[in-house]
Amino acid sequence: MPPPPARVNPLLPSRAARFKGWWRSFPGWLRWGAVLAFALAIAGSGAFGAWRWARGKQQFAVYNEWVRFEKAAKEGDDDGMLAALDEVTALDPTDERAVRYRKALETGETDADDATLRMFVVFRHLRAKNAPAAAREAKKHLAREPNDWLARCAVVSHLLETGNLDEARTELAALPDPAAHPPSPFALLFAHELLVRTGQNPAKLTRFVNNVVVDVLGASDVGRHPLAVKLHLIECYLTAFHPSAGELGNRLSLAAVPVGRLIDQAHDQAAAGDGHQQLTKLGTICDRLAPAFAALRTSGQISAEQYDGLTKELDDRTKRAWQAVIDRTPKEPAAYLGIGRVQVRRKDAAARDTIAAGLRECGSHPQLLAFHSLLMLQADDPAEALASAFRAAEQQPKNPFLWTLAAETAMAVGRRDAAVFACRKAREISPKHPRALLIEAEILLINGDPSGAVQLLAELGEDALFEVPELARGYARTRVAAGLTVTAPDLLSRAFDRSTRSGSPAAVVAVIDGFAGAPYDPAVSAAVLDAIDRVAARWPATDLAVTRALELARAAEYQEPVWEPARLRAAVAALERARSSRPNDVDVAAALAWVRVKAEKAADKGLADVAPLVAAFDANTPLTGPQLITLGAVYLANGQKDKAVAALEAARKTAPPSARGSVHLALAYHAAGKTAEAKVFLADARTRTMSPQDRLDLTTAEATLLREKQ
Amino acid sequence: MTRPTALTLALTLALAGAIGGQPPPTPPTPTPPAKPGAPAPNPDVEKALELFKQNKVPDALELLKKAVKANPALPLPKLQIAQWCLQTNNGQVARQFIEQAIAEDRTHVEGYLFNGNVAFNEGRLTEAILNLQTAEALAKEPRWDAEQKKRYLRNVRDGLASCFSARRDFDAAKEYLRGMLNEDPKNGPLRQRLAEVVFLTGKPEEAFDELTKAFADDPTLDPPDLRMAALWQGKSTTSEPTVAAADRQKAEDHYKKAVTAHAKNAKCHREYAVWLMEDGKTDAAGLYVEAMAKIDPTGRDTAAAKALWHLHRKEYPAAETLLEGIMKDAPGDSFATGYLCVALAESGDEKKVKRAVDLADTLVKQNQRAPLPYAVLGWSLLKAGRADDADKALGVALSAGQVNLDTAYYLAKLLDAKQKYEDAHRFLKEAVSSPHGLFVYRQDAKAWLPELAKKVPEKKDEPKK
Repeated sequence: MPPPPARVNPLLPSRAARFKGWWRSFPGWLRWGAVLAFALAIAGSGAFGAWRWARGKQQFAVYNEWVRFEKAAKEGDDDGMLAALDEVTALDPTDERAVRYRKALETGETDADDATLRMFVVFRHLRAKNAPAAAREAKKHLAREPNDWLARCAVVSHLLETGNLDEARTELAALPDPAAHPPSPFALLFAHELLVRTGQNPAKLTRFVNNVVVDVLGASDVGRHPLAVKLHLIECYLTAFHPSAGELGNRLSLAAVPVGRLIDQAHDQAAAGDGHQQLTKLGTICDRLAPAFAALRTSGQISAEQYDGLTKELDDRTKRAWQAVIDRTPKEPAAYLGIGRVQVRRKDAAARDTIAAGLRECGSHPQLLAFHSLLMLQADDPAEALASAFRAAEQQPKNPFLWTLAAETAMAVGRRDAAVFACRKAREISPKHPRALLIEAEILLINGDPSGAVQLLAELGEDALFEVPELARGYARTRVAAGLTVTAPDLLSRAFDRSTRSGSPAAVVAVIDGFAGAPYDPAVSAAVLDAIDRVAARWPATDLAVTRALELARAAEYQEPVWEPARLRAAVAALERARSSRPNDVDVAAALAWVRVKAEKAADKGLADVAPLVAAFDANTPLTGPQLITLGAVYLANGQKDKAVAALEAARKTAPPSARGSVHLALAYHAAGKTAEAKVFLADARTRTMSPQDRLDLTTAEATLLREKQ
Repeated sequence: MTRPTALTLALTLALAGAIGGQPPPTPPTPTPPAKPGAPAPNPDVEKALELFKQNKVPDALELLKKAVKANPALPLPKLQIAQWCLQTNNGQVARQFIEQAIAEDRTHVEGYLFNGNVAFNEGRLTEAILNLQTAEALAKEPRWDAEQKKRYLRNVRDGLASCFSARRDFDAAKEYLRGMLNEDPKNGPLRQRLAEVVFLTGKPEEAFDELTKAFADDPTLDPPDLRMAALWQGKSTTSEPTVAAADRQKAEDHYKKAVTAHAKNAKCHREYAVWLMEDGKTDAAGLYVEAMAKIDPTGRDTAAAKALWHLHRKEYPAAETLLEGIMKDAPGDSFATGYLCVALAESGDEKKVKRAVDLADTLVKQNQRAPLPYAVLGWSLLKAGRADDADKALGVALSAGQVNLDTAYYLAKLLDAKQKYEDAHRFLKEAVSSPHGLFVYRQDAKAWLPELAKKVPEKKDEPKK
């Protein structure tokens, strides 16, 4: 160990001695004064430090109570909120904010100049479904913040509850531009729901979703949002796929993958907590995403490969979300239905086991029974399907949806009597239930009473009919069948006006489709073609090229003189254009092949054109009766008699007998050497209504058979 | 006889329907026996008519004799004079001339034919048949050439078919009509008459076949389904209530088929629209009113049916405009006048209500025997606040024995105003319980009935004996 260092200069006096000397050099009063001042400073600093420490501790406690309050507010726990506010006041009696909040909680009113408090009260009323109070407070807020989405929505919601539809629409028109004043995801969803309820076009919002929400979903920091916001964001994305949205936004496909990632994050967050509700919501969202992705595929925004990948991942996510729900709550029917739907989509036979497990756990739940019924229908067990459907409806006899489902099942198994019974039941609950009316109208049509069918649908009123494309289509088709062809242009005009008012071509397109699907009438056909041109001029993005091409093909075939060259040329050109944009469209393929074989007498071209039908037929994809007849006719024209017989026999099983089907089947049987059968079908054809082309085919067939006899 | 338009027929049927009872049986629109010989324009006959008008009957007779000599196809001179006498409501003198004509030539067909015609028009069916049968026997005599024989036999059979139809001996009528059709197989209207008679013999399918053939022979006729609908509709008014419902269903089925198969025929749409209005299905009727107006936008029947539809929908100004239009073209149209009164009375405009009263008053003066104008007058007066005058007018309408459904509603309103709730309720209840018939105020009546029922004092239980 080294010795300690020596003093620098041992001769010098020590430092203490020097300080002592220096201190004593001052007068005594000054020395004692300085000592006193120093002592006082030390004591003051200590006291201040102690005070600051106590104050900070209190503020931290107050902060914690506000956090507790916020949590209670989000959960709608009034007692929790009040307790937290009491604590805040106890900790800091001077906290005016707590006093104001407590008063607002107790009275449900606020006149405070505090935007957060105002919206807190509005939100609280909305949560309690107290629309009048929410609207009252929202109006106060709107007076100062006219661009607040949620407040305006609260006012509209109340107006709708009180039946003031016009005022509600006016208020909705005053919603700000989302680009300038972006709504919160919750407010966007609220506004979307209100716009749909009031029959207005939510295009403003769907554009915002397409332009902004898609980017938010794709941003790298989207995962930082709380679980509820994550779910709201995905729901906002789904609004762009709502039927009222019209044409799909062109950027929606960009969010398809990020949405999947967000679902994973949301699932992990929900699964980590006691998120039963959130998991159920997540499962529901996954269910809704499946048709959304299908729409992206149909519109051509994603490729078939991308679609397969997306749906496979989505199905896994859906099953995982619903399985997590079942793990927590085994008696949750929605979970079994969700998994069952995925399994059906995946053609997984386990769907039946899933639904059976659901029925075991949840008892005779109507929706599970209804699903079971559909599965039985698929499994070709009509009796069990019908029984399940009716059991489901009887479980909830006041649920018109289940009665209409039972009616549809009854229709599917050929029990029109049961279908009528179920429809009547549905209409006892909801006299103008669209689906029930549509099924009843369909039955009347099948029973040869188109006038009854059209009168039944007319009971709804045109406004309601135009609201639902399926109804508008059915109504238009039924009107033609009922002989109301002269008024077709008027109906199209009214539908067009309605579409112009709503901003969406859905109504007029549905009416066009309905007329195009009805038996041919020259006046109706001319009106349809005219309407298609008007729609194209007004909504250029609406693609009616296929409908137009098919209508031109019908005009060429049915209008006298049959296959008039100018009309034929126009039809072929339109069909070829339609095919170039939709090469796999079976309707276009069938129409084009028919024209080739019957008008152009080009059997080989017909065989080339009919390729999508061949592929569908070989893959057991359902085809309609007329499509199968066309396929048979093309095979027949190309000398492929066995294939012709197969297609035409399938047509016979698929659709009601027709002159066209019988003539071609007779010719096919004749070609296949089955002369006796050929004669039977030829005789059958003679008894049926025929188009000019059918008459021509019949004459040809008769001549062929006669030649054979000779 | 000119066939009334179906709308008028429907209206007439509705007007004829007694509340709670059934109207008298309606025979198949009989055609009176044809007049002897077609009145061809002939200068001598024209001059004779002038002389007849100047009461110079002998001179007219001389001139007619000269004309007949020149043209044997003309009616016998005395029968021509008898015809003119009938036209001037001088039946007594006409009969004398007929008897003289027959006495002068007992084997001439025309005398008996003419006599039969007169007897039919006056409702003496047996006498008409006997005369026509005599004429038939005489027509077969070799005295007549082939053309004359054919003409006489045709007229005689036509008359006999009408007589037997009116007598409801449809089998006999059918035979005469078949006889006529053998001579003229492509005569559509004749076959249509045969179909109507066949229908009344209880063979609707056979009737339909005949109507189909008639329509094929003469496409200007009503489509077969439309005629069948009218026949079933007519039958339903005479059937028992249980059968009537089935008959009405058949009528409606045919109406539906008619509009479907003849989509461009305005009459089919119009008739079905009226049927639906009568059934209380105003909204459904709108579909066919629209189609009818599209096919025949300027037709008078279209305007009438459309006005009726607007009245059912309480669109009084629209109905008023249409009815004014009809009246401009046909000022004497009682249908348009009657319903214009209703539209004006409902306008709420004092001047228009006054005009309704004036028009109804004129209508009453023009049709003093008909109950409907009185009902319309009563309603207009009631709307004008003249309940006592309304009481008198509606009293006259009621005294006719049969009141239509709207009249029952008017009466109920009047009785309600007079606080005679029980009677008002009885009228209204009976009107509302009628399943089918033109009833402009059906919806109002249905809505009002429960309210009115509350005003009716409850009957105290009679003490038990």
